[in-house]
Amino acid sequence: MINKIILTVFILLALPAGFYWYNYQHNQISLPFNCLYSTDYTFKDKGDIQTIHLKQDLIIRSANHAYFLLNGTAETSGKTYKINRTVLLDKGEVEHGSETIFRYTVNSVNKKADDDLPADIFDNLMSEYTLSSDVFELHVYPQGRETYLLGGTFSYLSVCLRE
Amino acid sequence: MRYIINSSIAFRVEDGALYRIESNDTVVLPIPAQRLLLIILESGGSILRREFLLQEVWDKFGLVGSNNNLNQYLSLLRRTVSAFGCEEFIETIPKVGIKIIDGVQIERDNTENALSQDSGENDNVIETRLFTHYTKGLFRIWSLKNIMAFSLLLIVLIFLSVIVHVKTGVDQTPVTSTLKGGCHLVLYSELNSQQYERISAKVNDYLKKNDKSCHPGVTIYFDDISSQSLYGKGRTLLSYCESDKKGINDVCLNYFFGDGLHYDK
Repeated sequence: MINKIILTVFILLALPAGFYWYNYQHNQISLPFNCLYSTDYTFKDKGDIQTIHLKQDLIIRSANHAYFLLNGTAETSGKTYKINRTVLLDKGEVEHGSETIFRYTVNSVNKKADDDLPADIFDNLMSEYTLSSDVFELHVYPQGRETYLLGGTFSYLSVCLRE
Repeated sequence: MRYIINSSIAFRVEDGALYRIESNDTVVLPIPAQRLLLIILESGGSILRREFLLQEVWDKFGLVGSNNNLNQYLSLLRRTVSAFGCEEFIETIPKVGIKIIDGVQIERDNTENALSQDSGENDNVIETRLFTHYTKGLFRIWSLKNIMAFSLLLIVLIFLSVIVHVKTGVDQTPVTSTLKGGCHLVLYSELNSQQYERISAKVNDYLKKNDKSCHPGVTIYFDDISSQSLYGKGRTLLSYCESDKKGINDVCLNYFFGDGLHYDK
């Protein structure tokens, strides 16, 4: 009788442990992680509207090497600007859980010749992804097959599709 | 006094403990099994009739034994002795009785107090006896060490479950529903019906503004947060994903709305 009780208790404990362990493993994001997405950002402030239409490539090669490509246009106060730049990230760390958090240091931002986006608009966009001027943080949540929800420091930002 | 079976298993008469000499694994037998084993060990290999056994084990002590009881305790003895490494011990003579299998060696050790002699090496006998007292029917070898090891394993499992649970959390579990039109709506918080209606209306409004429609094969990921931070009062994400024939998202268009800017204009 007692061995049946012990076995039952063991199963009752082992099942949830196994379930959580499976979830934990299932949510792990293997590297390299290449995820593409298109986002229309709209920021409103006291009647001013700033819109940024971007195609973005997030390429995480390793915990210490990643980059973030931005290509598109921005409109504000009747003016249109071109964005074409790469944000290089390094000195990273990865936290695993139901979400995976990638935290990197912004090494440099490389603009292409046609990129004429004013710094304040770019900084406004990057503020959604950064904790401080040089700490880039991204939360990645698996959403099913090849689909990932990306979160920044304040909120969810986009859904990307893994290549 | 004790009996030694095949130089490897000992039965101590004083406390009815059957133990493996080498490893000291011990089982304290129930009293009928002790009496039965003693009779078998003293039989010298002769055939023991069922009637005789019933009389010596039960009747003599004012108890009523049955063939079932006898079979049960014989089975116990076979299993225990077998678990200790002597697989062939008792032979059944159909419709007659039992006998010790030829070749099994039985030695008698007449030391006056085998219990005290063994106490140094059988520290867990008393604990095992207590355990056995509460577990009639548990005839496998469960020493205190085994129980403690098992308990430790359970504690580790509980600890791991809690750690993993805390680490993974449940807050991000998406809640999926189907909107009018057939598309799926994925939300990231549990809503009551009023909140859900409000969010559904908001999603439909966003879809209209962006010339999108809700139809099967479309999944909308939506989240809406309010904030009183320095950087604005709220952020909304609506992702409009269309899937291919296999149901895998093929294209996703994201619409992100932020109230406020991160800098002063």
